[in-house]
Amino acid sequence: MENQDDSAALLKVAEAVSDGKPVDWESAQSLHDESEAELAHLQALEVVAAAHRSARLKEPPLTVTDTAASGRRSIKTIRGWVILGLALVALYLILQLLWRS
Amino acid sequence: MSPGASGTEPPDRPALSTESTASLLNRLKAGESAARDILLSRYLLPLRKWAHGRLPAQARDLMDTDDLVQDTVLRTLRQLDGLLADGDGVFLAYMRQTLLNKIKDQIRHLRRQPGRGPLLDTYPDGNPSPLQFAVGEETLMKYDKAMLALPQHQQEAIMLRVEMGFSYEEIARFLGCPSANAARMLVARTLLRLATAMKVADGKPG
Repeated sequence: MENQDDSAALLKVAEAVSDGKPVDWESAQSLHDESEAELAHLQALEVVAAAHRSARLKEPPLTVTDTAASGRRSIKTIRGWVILGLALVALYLILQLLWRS
Repeated sequence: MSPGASGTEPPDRPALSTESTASLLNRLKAGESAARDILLSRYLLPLRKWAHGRLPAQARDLMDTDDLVQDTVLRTLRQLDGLLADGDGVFLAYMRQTLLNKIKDQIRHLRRQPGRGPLLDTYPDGNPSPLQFAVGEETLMKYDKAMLALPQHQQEAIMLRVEMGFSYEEIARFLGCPSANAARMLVARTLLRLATAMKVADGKPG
């Protein structure tokens, strides 16, 4: 019966970790000293979850358009500018030739 | 915002398809390219953020994480046979391991480049990643090892919730759980298994 209580209590703690809710670790440890190691590792998992959360928030927000399609669009834009540049150089050379003749 | 207390907050992501990942992978295999677009819009952004957290700042300046993630995802989606043969919903678990290996390879490669100063052994490029810094190298290694000890669908549940911050509704849709509450229970039970696996990694009986 005690084991079942411990399992249910551990599950509650795991749910709180998953939800990002604060856990009173000291009181959990004192109530379930049989599960000391599991609780210690759940506490470590709480830190892992918080670190991921914090890393996500620190990243600049990206938009969905910032995907493969936008990559393809960027390449197209660069290609367009290169073609325009080459066309202008060619036009300049033609005009120079015409001017000399 | 997510994961939050209720797990129902709208994430900083667009509205997503209600289809499960496994179903999308099957549609993609059948030649429906729209399924690939849905998978990309679902996972590319969170995977990029995830990868940024795993990379030390110094390495981030020297390599394009976004390209690394995008290339890896697209390459994986081109090699669907292996993924589908492994069963439903292993896409993210596979992506996670592939990206972790690629990040390690890239950092090793950067390390070998001439002109770089002396590097510490603890962190491949001399600096911790944001996650290593926040969690500690030993705990993160233990966590990664314990993750690999879990079945792949459980790895995905943890990855979606803990590492990427998807809501329970989204996790239920992606993994094909009957409800958000079922997804919540799956994540909680898996966290407990993960804690036990970490305990075993410490040399204590499970």
